[in-house]
Formats: sequence, C-alpha cells, structure tokens
Amino acid sequence: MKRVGTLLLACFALGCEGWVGAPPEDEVSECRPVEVFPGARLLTRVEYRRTVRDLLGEPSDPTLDFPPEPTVNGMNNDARTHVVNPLLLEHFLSSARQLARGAHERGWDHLVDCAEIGRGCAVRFLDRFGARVYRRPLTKDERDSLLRLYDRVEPGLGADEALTAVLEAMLAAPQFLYRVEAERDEDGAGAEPLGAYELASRLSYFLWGSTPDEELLRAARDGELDDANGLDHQARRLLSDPRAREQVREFHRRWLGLDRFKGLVRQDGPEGVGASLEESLLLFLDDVFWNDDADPTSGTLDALFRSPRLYVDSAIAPLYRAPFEGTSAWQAADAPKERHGLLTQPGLLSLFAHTDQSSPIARGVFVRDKLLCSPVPAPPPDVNNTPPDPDPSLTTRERFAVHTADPSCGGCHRWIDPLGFGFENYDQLGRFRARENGLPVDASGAVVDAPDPTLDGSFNGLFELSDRLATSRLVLDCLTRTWMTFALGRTLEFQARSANSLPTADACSRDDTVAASLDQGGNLREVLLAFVATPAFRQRAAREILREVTP
Amino acid sequence: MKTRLDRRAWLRAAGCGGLALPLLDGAWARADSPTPPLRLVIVYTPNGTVPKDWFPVNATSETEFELGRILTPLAPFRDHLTILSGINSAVGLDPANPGGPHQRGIGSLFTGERLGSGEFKDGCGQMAGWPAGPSLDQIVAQLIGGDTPYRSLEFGVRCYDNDVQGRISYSGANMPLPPMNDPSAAFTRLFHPSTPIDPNNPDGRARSVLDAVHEQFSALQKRVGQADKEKLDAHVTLLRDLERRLGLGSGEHCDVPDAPPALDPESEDDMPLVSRAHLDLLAAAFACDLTRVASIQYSTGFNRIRYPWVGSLGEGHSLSHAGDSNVAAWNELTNRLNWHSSELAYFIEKLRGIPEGEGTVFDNTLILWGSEVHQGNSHALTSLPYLILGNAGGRIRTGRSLTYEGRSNAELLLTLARAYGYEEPTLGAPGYCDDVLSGLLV
Repeated sequence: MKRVGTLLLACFALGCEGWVGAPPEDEVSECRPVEVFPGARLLTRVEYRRTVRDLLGEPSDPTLDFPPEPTVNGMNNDARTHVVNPLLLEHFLSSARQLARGAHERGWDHLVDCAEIGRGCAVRFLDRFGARVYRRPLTKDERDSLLRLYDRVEPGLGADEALTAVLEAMLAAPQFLYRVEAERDEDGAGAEPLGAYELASRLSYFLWGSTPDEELLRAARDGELDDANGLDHQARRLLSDPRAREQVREFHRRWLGLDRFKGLVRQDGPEGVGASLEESLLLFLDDVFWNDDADPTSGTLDALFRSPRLYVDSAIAPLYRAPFEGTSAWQAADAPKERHGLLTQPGLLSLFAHTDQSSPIARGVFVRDKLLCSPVPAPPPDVNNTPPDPDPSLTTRERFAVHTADPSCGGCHRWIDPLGFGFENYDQLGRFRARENGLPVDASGAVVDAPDPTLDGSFNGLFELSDRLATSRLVLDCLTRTWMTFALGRTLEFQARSANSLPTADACSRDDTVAASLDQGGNLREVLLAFVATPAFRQRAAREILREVTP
Repeated sequence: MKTRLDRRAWLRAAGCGGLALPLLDGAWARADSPTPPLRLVIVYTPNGTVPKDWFPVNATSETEFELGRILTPLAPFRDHLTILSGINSAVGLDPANPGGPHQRGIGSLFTGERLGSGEFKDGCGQMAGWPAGPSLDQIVAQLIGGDTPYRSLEFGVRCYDNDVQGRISYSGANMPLPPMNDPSAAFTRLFHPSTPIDPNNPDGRARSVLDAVHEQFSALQKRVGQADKEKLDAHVTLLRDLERRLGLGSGEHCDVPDAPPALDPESEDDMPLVSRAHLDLLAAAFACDLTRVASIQYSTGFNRIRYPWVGSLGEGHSLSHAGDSNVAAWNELTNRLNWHSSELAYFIEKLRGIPEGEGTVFDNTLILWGSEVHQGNSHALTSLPYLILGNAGGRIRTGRSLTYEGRSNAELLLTLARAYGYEEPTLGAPGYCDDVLSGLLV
C-alpha cells in the first residue's frame, strides 16, 4: 500500500487522476431542493461568545454557565433541536444586561462615533452599530421601538443609561439571538434564495462561528454576495482570518467528539492528561489543515492520514519518548517510526480506549462511523460489552478475540474488530508497543465490506491502513458530509425520491464539493471554499419557500 | 456568615423587582396559609439496579421485609419508603415505538411517553427524538410550582450526554430541561441572581427594556415563516413566564446557605462533593420556597464514570453489562447504588432538619428514584427499579414493598400525579395508562 501512496503523491503534483474509489456516476445539472426546514437558528454558546467578543469587545466568556446544546449528528448546532429553555432564557437576559453594562463601561466611542451621547447619537448608534448587532439594517418597526425605549429611559436616568438600555434590549431580542433565514422583505415578498444578509450570516457563522464583520455586511449590501466570484472572494477573506482557525478547531472538536476528554482518566497518564492530549490532537489537526507550503500534499487528506507530526507539552512528552527542550509550552516533532497521521495520534488513540487498556471495538467503530460514514448495525441489547479484565498472560487482541468469538456477535463484529485490531500497536495512552505482556503484538487487520469495495482487504498496522484511507474518495466524501452538517446545522438529505427523480441539493452539493477538492489534490480548505458555492449552502430549504409562495 | 434572605432582597437581587408587583399579594398569601406546600423530587441513576440487592429480602407481607443491601443506608427511614416492583415501561416495550433501549427507557422513565422521530442515535444505532410529552415533575410543577420563583430546578451530576439519553425532565413534547452540573452556578442562580441594579429607578428601566424586547419579537414575527414563528412564539411564552416569576418573592425568611466550595463538576474526585452541594442547595431552595419541584440526575446511561470512593474502578456503562456470573462487577454496582442510597438518606435528613408547620419539609415531600432499565446487562424495560421516599403530606402509603406485576409505569406516574391534584384520566402516551395503581394513594 505504501508504494501506491507514493505513486499517488506524484500524481497530485502532475494533476492527474489517482484517487481510489468510484466517482459519481453521471454529471447532473439539476438538483431538487431539500425539504428539511428546521426554523430559526439559535446561537450556540460558542457562537454567542464569539459574537459578543467581536461586536462589543467583550473580554470575558458570558456563556460558561449556559446549558449545553443538544448533540445531533455529532454537532451542537442542530437548528431543529437547539431551542430555548427556561435556564437558557435566564442567562440570555442577565447576560444582555451585563454585556450592555460592560460596553458602557468600556465607553461608547468603541461602538459609535458621537461627539456627545444624546438622542442624535442613539439614532446613529442604531443605524450604524445596530445593523451589526442584528446582522442587517433594522426595519422601521424595530428602530422606532428602540428609540421609544431610549425616550422612556433618558428623562429619568440620562442618556448613557438610556443607550445602555437600548443595547441591552437588542442583546435580548430575537434578531440578535437567532439567525432567521426566512425573512420577508419589508414589502412582504419572500427573499429567495437566501437574502444577501442571510447569506452573509451563514458564511460568517460557518467560517468564523461569529457575526459578520463590517466588510461582509457591506458586501451583502452592495450585492456582491449574489455573484459567485464575490461570494468566493469573501469566503477566502474570512478563511484567511484568525477567526477561521478557531472555527476549524471547533469543527474538529465536534467531528471527533473531543468533549470526552473532560475528566479523562487513563492508567499511567498523569492527572489532567486529557487536556494535554486534546490540545496535542488539535494542534496536529491545525498543522495539517492550515499548512500551505509547497509540498503538494500539504493541507490535504493525504497529510491528515500520513503526517509524522506529533505535538507534545512537558506533561506528555515523556509518555511518547519525545524530545522536549526549551521553554515553549508546545513543541512539534516528527516521529516517523511511530506516528503516521490522525489514526496514530495519542489524543485519538486514548480517546478511543478504556481506562486501563486499548479498545479495538471503539477504534473500529470510530473508523466506520467517522471516516467511512458507514455505521455498524446495533448489537443486540442484552450483549455483554464489559471489556475483558486485563490478563497478563494474553494480549488485548487475544482477550477480545475470545470475547467476540460468539457466532451471534461475529455477524457485526467482523466489520469492527479486524479494523480495531489494526490499532493494537498503541495502548490506552496511544503509546507505541511492539510487545504486550511480553508477547509480540499482532496488528494485522482488514477492512471488510466498506461502502467502497476498493477499500476492502487486509492490512498490517496503522501505517498501511492510513495509506489506504489517505487516497480514498469515500473518506473525503465522508469528511465533506461532516463539514456540511456542521455548516448547515441540520440533518442532510441525500435520498432521492425515487430512482428516476432528481438528486437532492445536498447530494449535488456534496459531489461538487468533493470533485472540487479532488481537483486540488484532496485539499481540505478547498472543501470549505467549494461548499460555499453550492446550492445547499446558498439556498434555503424548499418547504419554506413553498410556504412563502402559497401561504 | 449566614445572611438572611427576604422577599424584597430577592426581588431586588433578581433585577426585575417591580415587574409584577400586583401579583405579589396573591402569591405571598402562602406564608400565612395553614397548609404547607407539597414538594416533589425525581432522582435518576443510570443503568438499572442489582435486583438481588435492591428488592426486599425475607418478605412475608407488604410491610414485613428486610431492606436489600443497596437500600440499607435508608434503613432509618424504612417507614417512609415504598419499594415498587413489576412496573414496566409499557411504552418502551412496544416494538412499534422508535428508539433504542436506553433511549426508550430514560425517555419514558418519568414521562410514560413514546419518543418522537429524530436524529439522536442510541449507542446501538437506533434513531429517535425527544419524548412526546412532559415528565411527572413538570406536570406537577404546573400544578404546584406557579407560586415560586422557579417552577422547578434541574440538578445534574456529570451529565454530559446532551440528547434523549441525557435528559429526564421535560416541560412538554420536545422540551427537555437541561440540568445544572455546577453547584456554584446553581448557587448564584438561586441566591445571588445576577445583574447589578440601577439604584435610581431599577423597576421602570427593567420594564421598559422588556417592553422593547417584546416589541422586537412582534416586529420580527410579522416577517418570518411558520417554522421560525413557532420557535419565536415558544421563546415569548417562556419570557412571559420568567417575567411573572421574577415578580414573585421567596418564601419565609430563611438562611441563605454558604456558597458551595469551588468544585470541578467534571472531575471524578469532586463527584461526591458535587452531589452533596446540589443536595444542600436543593434543601435550601425548599426552605426558602424558591421552588417546590426538582430533579437530580446522576450521569447518563453511556457514562464511563468510576466511583473510586466506594472502590468501584469499572466504567459505568461497561460495568453494568457484566455477565450475571461476574460477582465482582455486580458487587461494584451494588456499592455504587448503596452510595446513592446514602446520598438520599443525607438529603432526607437535611429536609427533616427544616421545620415546617407542625413537622418538617420532608413530611410534605415525595422523592421518586428510578432507573431506565431493570438491570444493565439485559436492558430489560420490565420491572424498572422505582423507589418512593416520603409521602407528600400523607397522600401516599409508605413503609411497604408493593408488586404491580406488568403494570405500566405511566400508571405509577399517574398515581403520583394524583397526589398533587392532577385530574386528567391518563398520563403519557395514549394507550399505555389505564388506571391508577391501587394501594398507593391514601
């Protein structure tokens, strides 16, 4: 497999086709809009925190005690289920008050350019800064109402307090807390497809997890986002901003379920090892994603699965026998004998492990779920899934082999275990081991019944498995779907109505995105940029459009 | 140092004191009322029980029995317990309903509801949404929670699954109530509601801001589609409820508890301290009449939590899947549940220390403890381990071990709801709730 990988590498440089796996069957020009309409999107904690930071310069995190969002499809921004509840509402109100006070204390001149604070300044505040808070210009009703608030508060408490009250009301208003994507224009006509300001918000919350900046709102106002080039220009601008780096980290956290590092306990790991392992993994992923040096594999799926990079801090460096010198908190090293891409990262390996031993099952399931988008059917509910007790006379593989030798388990475990056994060179902390309990480790494995048969077949160890995944169209397709789910905050719809009907916009958009990334050698940043251009990103769902047209 | 909390102070601290002053006279009548308020707490622990150590032993009648090993810490309150067996999640057992066993179990445990369709994945791959109706605590909160600042409080100990497997309390269909995992945040919410107040004219200002917020809602509502409108409507409804609640006072003068120590809600080491802090806060909230309804949720089914303080180093969900012959694993599970019993014993003792009328707060409280499956390794939704502690002002018969073979848990929930004045003929999903359980209501 390694030779094939090298061969493909050369192919990328020459721009030729080298990817393993079937491309979509035919070029299709028409797609059916999806019919999933989840309704207004409530800001998540991350979005709220970044939004008030970018709007107000708020330095603290007001969301620390906000209740968490529901987890759907691994993400936390599912518009259908992330709805307000009493606890969250209390936080929204008290946070609005505290944020408005904080803004006042830092001084209005950060937010609005006024010679003196008064009614004229309030008007100016709403027209300039208000449009940033609501991510679009205010309507007449909205503006009038907020000026009435100013007029009610000002006589008793003064202009400063009145302006504070106006900001507080805006921060507690739905125009701020929700992203509404089915707004009618003031004349009552449905904006279709997405209105320019709606698209601007979609773009900034996708690439930044935060509110549009002034330049993006200007581009929306001037109609530049209606044009593919204008949209692409803005997408590239946003992606080159540090805020995009935060957002890519957020994606990686969701994709791999890194919340589970909280309170992680692993035998032989120092206390708090979870935090170090999480950061190590995120740094690796940052490194792969953002690297744009001259190497043609930089920033690609290939690098994701084959980079030898390992990040360590002083707490975990000894675990992996990594050199650690000097004073910087994190240090990168290449460890080409032990580390070969994502699958060999200590963070990933320890996440998918038990406290005191590796977990071939969890690791195999991870590959099926997160890399192949091919979840394994359910085990029967009465299954005994206790990990076998560590037995000093056996390897983990031998113990699990006994565990799943039962023919009733074998039906499904043949899809999981051979994958997971390929990870056996790495223990519960992701430390490399050639021997376990004095016995040689057998890390031979196999991919069985993958949705793409070209992935099937036996392999020996993670290096070989990673080489195979690194050039798989299916893996890129799966990662693209995950990015789409993250971008759209809804369940994707790939199922065509019947064999002869049009593919869904989601399916078309996925195929276009994968194709565009493949054109760039499987570049990961290209996945985001290409997806922005697709109908799934630029249009709203069909059901709502129908409702708008025929009320 | 203890501080006193009085109604006015709470209102000032809550920040919206003047909002609903006209309501106060009515709400405040409780202090002079001869009948003390009723209270309800639901408690969840994950992955079922160890039946041999949970159910009574050497039982000769419904009142003559010995407590199983798990419940021994509750022995001082034996006369206040009713141990229930044979009660099924009828709605969960019906294969026509969506979801996997963990989802159906916890989804129906306190609701008697079927799950809607949705995208939450069971660990085993089945898909489901939220339950299609409210949980017992919220049904009761609607009946008895309206006169307190918080209609209910939800506490959690290491609850990190934010889906149907991670919630026990629902205010309605698709309306889960997330638990508070951090005692410090809960303390601040209850006893130092945020937001500094302008000393000059707090009330008029706050009212004006909220009026403007309502106007912003109205302005937006006119311009959106149906699905958006439903979400915004739900938000406005909660906002109105919050405004009403902020107009209500705390109960009688009461001691504000000391702030809990700074704890890491995610840490294994702090877990027992978090539990205690939550229980202390809830007892204080009852004493101050900040709420009358609460839930306490200990983690979730798919947890990997260890309980080293009782010598249990297995990870929760895996441990609960141990085969029946795995004596060591089952012993660990018994020890864990025994610890949960002692937590509840501590809580009861705490409530018994708060005088109320002729007796104590515990006299007017009922705690319902349950788990989503019978035992972890079978995931059976039959004979769910339900335990009643306390009698809700003498409305429920206790000191008993009662078997209701094959009855639906919705019927248990209906029976308990009756004690709080619920008058509807059924509770939960249609078709799984025929009648109250006989022999429970006094």
